[in-house]
Amino acid sequence: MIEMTHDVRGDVLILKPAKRIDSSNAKSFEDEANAKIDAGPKKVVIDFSGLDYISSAGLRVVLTTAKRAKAAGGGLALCGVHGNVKEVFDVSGFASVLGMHAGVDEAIASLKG
Amino acid sequence: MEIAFDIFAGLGLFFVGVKLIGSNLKELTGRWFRRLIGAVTRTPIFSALVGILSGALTQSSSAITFMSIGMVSAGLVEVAKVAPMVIWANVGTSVLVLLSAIEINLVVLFLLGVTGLAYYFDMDRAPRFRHLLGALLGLGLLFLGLELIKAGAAPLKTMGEVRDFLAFAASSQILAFLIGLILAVIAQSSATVSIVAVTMTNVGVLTMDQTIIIVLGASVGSGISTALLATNLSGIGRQLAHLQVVIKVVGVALVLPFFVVETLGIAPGVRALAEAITTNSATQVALIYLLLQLVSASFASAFQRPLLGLMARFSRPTAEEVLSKPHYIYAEAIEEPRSALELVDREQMRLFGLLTSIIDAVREDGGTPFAPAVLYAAGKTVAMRCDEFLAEILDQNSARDVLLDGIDLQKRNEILLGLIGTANEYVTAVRQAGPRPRGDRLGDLLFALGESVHTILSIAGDAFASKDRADLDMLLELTSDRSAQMEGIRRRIMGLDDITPADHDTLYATTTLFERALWLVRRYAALVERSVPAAAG
Repeated sequence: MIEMTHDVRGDVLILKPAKRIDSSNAKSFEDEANAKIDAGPKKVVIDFSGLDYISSAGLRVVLTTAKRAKAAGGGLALCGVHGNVKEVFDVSGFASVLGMHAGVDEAIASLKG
Repeated sequence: MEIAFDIFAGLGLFFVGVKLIGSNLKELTGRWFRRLIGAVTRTPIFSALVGILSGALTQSSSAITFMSIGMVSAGLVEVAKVAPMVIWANVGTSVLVLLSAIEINLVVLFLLGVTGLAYYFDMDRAPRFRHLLGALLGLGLLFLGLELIKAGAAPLKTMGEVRDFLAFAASSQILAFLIGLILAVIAQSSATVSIVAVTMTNVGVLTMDQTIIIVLGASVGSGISTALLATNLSGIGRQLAHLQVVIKVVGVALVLPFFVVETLGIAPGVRALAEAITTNSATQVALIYLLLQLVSASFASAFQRPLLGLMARFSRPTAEEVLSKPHYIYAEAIEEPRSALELVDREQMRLFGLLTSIIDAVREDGGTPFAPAVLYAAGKTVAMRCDEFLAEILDQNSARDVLLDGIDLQKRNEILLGLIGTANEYVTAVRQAGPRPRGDRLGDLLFALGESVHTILSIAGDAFASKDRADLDMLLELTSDRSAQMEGIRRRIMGLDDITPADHDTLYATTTLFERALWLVRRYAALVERSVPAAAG
């Protein structure tokens, strides 16, 4: 199971996964994120500041979450990536394709713009 | 003493002849033989006919069995389709045994004369004739060797000691059977032993009954020889080798009772049958050899399905054999070119799955039960099979849309082969670097590279299967040129104090291979995107 907290600020859903997203919990991340997008705000910020590890399975569920939010008429912004997680996002090209923000406020601002 | 040298020299020439025939015919038949096998194994009758022909040409059922094993292991043909060829190759080996029973002195001398002249005039330098001449020289030497054995052995029948030995051998059919068996294991050919036995019968050294028993023993010996050669085989390959062993043993088990009944004077048997056809004792033995092969081949053909089922129970296909087998394309699909192209597309999608499994070998979060070398070999085999299949489709069709799509799939296939090789090289480079702790600069980079390439290959597989324009666009973005990014990473890590020459090699190899993998995926994506209609809006 994914360790994840969530918050809603206005029309933006903020997801904050903790520790790691790998093949063992990527599905539960996806299910939880999808359920929240379907039931609430379609604009989503994922705050990775509490995340220390992300594998290929994690990257793919981030991408499916982005597609889900976009299909629902919203969007996705990422923030708080650091350390080796940042390197994975940079090398994979996800950082340039999905966009990275320093903090939650900047990420929310990017969705409003 | 002179007799012994004559026989020894004759055997020497005989073996040189066997080797020359086999090696030259294999060279001569190599390329077209493979194409022919693909085409004729579509029906069991053609497959059996090719078996007889190739058995006659190579004079070795083992050679045909192991050649077939190679093709089955390479995924070129299925066991059930190649089985009739393996079964009936034994019948083909009877040709030389029959010829050896006939007096062909003048033919042999003429053959050697012609071949010698051809060599003198350097005809062997021409690639077209080289192997044909080699095979003809082998045939001439083989028969010359037999003539020497005949000439040398002729006085033996009058020698007291020989008579005593033969009387001893004749007293025990089991002993004669064992002599045939052991000689065939040593010579790795029942035909070879049978030819020598027929030659001995021709000059009256061996009696008809002794020779028949030696021929039967030689057949079992040839089976044992195949079983010994197959001990290092596994999977489907071993199934075919075991089938050959069963054919040999069952043939003897079916013919032997008729011979025993006849020897005991209870009823006429195989000897009476041969005597009804010819009065020449050597030809009679040769006919019994042929009968033995026909009986075993007919039995194996009649029970091919249960026999192969039994073989499969004892020797399950290896992981590589299962993975190397195309899942979608099959020979008959070629009749419907549009569907055939669709099957190639699906097969290529399956290969993308295989690619991520290769990378899994060096991932913490990856799981695959197969070694990367097995996945690499299987992927290469399937990609090459796709290539051959596409070449056949293009050969047989001239419709513009089929040609364009076929050429497009050929280009994709070439890229896939490149990706399979790149993935394998990447895994090899990471493995050579050994385990790296997290927090180590190079270790962290290798982790990021591995997860990234795995993600991109997974996304590519999904996008190519769905052919969704948005997914393909996303993939093209993810695989944009990374040379500047990789160069920056290399410079940053090279600036560290503790970098070793081995680390340096790993850094360059992995980042370069990563760039190459992304470039290949991008080229593939561009080809797929070209065939997808633009998204609405």
